[in-house]
Amino acid sequence: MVLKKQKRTKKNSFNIVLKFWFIPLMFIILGFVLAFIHINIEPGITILVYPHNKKEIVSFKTDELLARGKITSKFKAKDNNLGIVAVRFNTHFRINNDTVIFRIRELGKTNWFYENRYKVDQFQPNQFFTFGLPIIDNSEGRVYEFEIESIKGKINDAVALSPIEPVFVTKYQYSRQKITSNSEYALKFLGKKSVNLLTNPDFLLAWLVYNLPVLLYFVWLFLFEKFLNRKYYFALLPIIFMLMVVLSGIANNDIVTIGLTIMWIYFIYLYKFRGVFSFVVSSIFIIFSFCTYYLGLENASKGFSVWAFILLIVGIVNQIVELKFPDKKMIGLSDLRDSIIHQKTSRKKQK
Amino acid sequence: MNMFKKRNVILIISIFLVIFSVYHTWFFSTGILSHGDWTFFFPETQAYFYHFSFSIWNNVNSLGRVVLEMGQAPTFFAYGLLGNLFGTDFSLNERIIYFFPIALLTPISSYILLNKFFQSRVAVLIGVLTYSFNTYFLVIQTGHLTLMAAFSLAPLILYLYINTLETKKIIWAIICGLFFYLSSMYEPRGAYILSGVLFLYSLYFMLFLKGGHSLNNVVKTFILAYLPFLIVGLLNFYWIFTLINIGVIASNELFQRSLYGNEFFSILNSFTLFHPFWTGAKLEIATSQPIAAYFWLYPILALLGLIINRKNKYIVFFAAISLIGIFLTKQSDIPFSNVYSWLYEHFPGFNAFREASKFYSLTALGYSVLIASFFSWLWQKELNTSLKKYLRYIITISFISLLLWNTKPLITGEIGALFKTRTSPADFLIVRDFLLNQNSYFRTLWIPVTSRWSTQTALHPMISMGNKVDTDWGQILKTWDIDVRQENNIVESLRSRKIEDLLSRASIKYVIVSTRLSDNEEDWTGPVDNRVFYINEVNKLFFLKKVDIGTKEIAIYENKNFRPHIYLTKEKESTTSATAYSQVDHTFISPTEYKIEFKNVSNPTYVHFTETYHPGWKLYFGSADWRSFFVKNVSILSDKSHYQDEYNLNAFLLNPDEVCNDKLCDKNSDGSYNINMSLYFQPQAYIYPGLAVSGATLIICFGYILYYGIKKTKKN
Repeated sequence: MVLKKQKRTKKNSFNIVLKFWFIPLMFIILGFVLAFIHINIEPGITILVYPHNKKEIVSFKTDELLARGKITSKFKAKDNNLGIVAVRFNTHFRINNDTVIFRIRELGKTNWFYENRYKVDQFQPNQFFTFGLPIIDNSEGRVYEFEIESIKGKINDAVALSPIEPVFVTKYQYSRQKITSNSEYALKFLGKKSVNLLTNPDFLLAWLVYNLPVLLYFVWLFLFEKFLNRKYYFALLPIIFMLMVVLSGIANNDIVTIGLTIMWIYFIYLYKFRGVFSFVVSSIFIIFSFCTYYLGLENASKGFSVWAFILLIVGIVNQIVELKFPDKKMIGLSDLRDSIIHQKTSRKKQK
Repeated sequence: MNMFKKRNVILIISIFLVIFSVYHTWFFSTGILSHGDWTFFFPETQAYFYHFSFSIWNNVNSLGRVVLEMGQAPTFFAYGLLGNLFGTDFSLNERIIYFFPIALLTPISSYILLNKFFQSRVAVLIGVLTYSFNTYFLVIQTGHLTLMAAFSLAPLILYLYINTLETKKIIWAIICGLFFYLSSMYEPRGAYILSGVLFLYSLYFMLFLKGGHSLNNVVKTFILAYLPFLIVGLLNFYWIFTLINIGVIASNELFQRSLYGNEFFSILNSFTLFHPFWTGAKLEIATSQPIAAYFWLYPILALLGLIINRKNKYIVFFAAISLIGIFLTKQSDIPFSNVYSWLYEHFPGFNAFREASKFYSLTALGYSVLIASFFSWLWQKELNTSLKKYLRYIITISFISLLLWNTKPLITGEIGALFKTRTSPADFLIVRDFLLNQNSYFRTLWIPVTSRWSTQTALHPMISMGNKVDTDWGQILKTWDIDVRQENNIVESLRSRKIEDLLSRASIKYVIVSTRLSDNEEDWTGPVDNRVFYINEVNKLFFLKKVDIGTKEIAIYENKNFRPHIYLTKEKESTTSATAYSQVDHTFISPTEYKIEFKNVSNPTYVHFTETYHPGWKLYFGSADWRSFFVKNVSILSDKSHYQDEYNLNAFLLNPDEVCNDKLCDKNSDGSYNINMSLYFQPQAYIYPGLAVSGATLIICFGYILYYGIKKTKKN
């Protein structure tokens, strides 16, 4: 009898490890690999990408770039082999007929290092447009200035800088041949690439997207695994994702925002939570937003505010439904507290 | 009951004490209040408004333009009416029309709304202070008073609307409609925002509150919900109808500008109801300021108010309004950065909001109710220990102190702007006397720009050189360069070889180099006083002669070659060669109508009218009558004969042989013609039927109120 019980306990432990640790971990590793491949397809595996914010644009404005108007930026190159400056433009969701001149030089030099013309009809709304330039080998630490000048932009027929951060990125091309032949160079590159990837919002976003199977897996567990039906703490999952999104700096991605919002709504629907849940989490996020603002982490502060705002919307809708259908059975804060206490008591009794 | 009344009286007295302390400059001084966009009118300009507020063409400023702000005509008329009836000057009139209503109505209307929801006097007081003294409202009180006047009425209108739907009485709908119109009269954009709130409330009421179950009830609710909108629409019909016919209601130069200020607006500012330019002292325009820590109490207390009273349907509605406000005021910040620009480009009416700050009013309205909700709970909760009671007092007094702290720069006058009285500088008064003593028509050109103290009348309109070189003159003279400071554009324009011809043909008699008024916070372009720089440049213009009228700093130059307002040439004018011109007898009737007497016209003649070209200007045989424009056989000179000259002014080709017959012209014995014509701005004809509709609506509304009052009195 005791042996049987021991066997059952062992089997249960194995199941829990398999279900809650091994399978999700496999998914996460796979997601990481896929995100790595995805993020390196477009610029290439040997390219490092560094974001720059609007403070690096001289007199940052998002007004239309009219004829003879210029966007000017001064930035410090983060690495050697500077080869691309990609700027995010607002096309106002229309095809504009302007042409812009892109020119770049090292600060203090009189002649432009590179200059070219581009038709703006190829710019995509709020997407980066890539301005390529001959690779500058020893660019690290040097300050460069670039200009984008409109030739014939006019009101309602001109592009503008996008307000979305990062406003522009710079890209640095490492030599593939050198990486394969020179181990020291390869090690240096790998170190930089790892840091670059982990601080790259696009990579983290891709990683999040490729980890959606983990999410689906957990949803499956919730739907089909009866024993999980009352595990309310799983509602922490979307909150953890929200925290990850905020701290990784990808709070400005609308797809991620919509995805996580749907996930939160799903949990509310699944557990029949009352609107007050969203309000409480929202309050916590506002306090986080306040704290991070005064810690100088403005982007994180904004991220928390975004989620506070979204949870408030969800909460308000939820609350209206509650008021409209007062007889509907829903889980309130006190119900949750009772449920958790009940679970703990029954677990103690089982032991 | 007595206690309740006493408490109310104490509360109202406290609110008024605060109001009079904060706005002491407005209430207890008689000086002129003018700053930024808030202009100043001399008595002659007020007189212009008395006569011509409902003219769709404005001819006192620049070279004339369509009055896009026609919806505000009644407020301009009020200046003229007060000046004409009582001889009151601008400083008193502006107080009566704007300053006193703003200072008094903002707390009163907020009080009326909050009093409906909360019994706690403390909660109502805090709600009133939250609404009245948030940073956005304080910022717009430094210049955008039209908006503030509209927002001051918003809570009252909402209260009336809620009552309309709850009581289902037409009288409430009519009163609501009239106040709603008053709000739109001050600022149509303020009323536009409010209309969104009312519309949402009507949906919320019908779907979630008491929409009614019977069909009869639903229909009645529906009619009453939209009756105020109908009243506002009809009362504004006169200008909407006219601007639609001109084709500028949906698209005009104001609505075609790109979004402004994406870099200033952030979700953090939206949540904390913190205007990005607020410093706690003088405003730092176009510089984002850090958010002071105590502003985070707004969202935190509002959220607590929501959580505590979440079962109250009104509270939920106001929370939703706050969220809409937050979402819109963040403009292009995260999340969903593109939504605002999409709305700006596509949503009807949204193109009037090129920057999002106006939507702070929604957040202020929502927060005032939510924060009051929190304090209502705090003050109605039974507390059993004195420590808790003390704590309650501390929280309340601290928060009230923080709200009042916002008003510090207004009380001390640090904020300047409209909280500091000003006097008209002596030089401008000398120029004014000099100009008003001349009875012939001419314009004045002010370099670099016009001042609020510049004289403007229908007989002597003023033009701002800076504004003109940044727009059409810059393009005509080919001197405009976006990347160059305005002062260089002005100088380049003055150096243009066309400048003499342009100034003369624009009827500019005097070129005035204005004085810098830094003490009046009127730092025109740039940080350096460039008056000498401009004077040196104007001195080089040989066709201008300096006139000494006794001014110390203002330099004034006369252009002897200036053309009359309406004149004739035998040939088509050209910018390359001088053309001889002749005078023609004409009489000014109104900014939209002139009578012209052509005598002995025998050959094709060009008629020049030095107002900005607009196809609406028509040469009409005989006396113009607006009714005749709705009749097909009206005798107008063909549109083919009307053209825009090189300087964007009006010109007509009058060929007597082609257009004259016995009915239209008097033939002289030598074969020439005498022709009496009217120059009429045709869109003005739409104003009159529009005014008839709006006037009839007003009479019906007041008629119903009177009928209701008599009926009620008889019943009692």
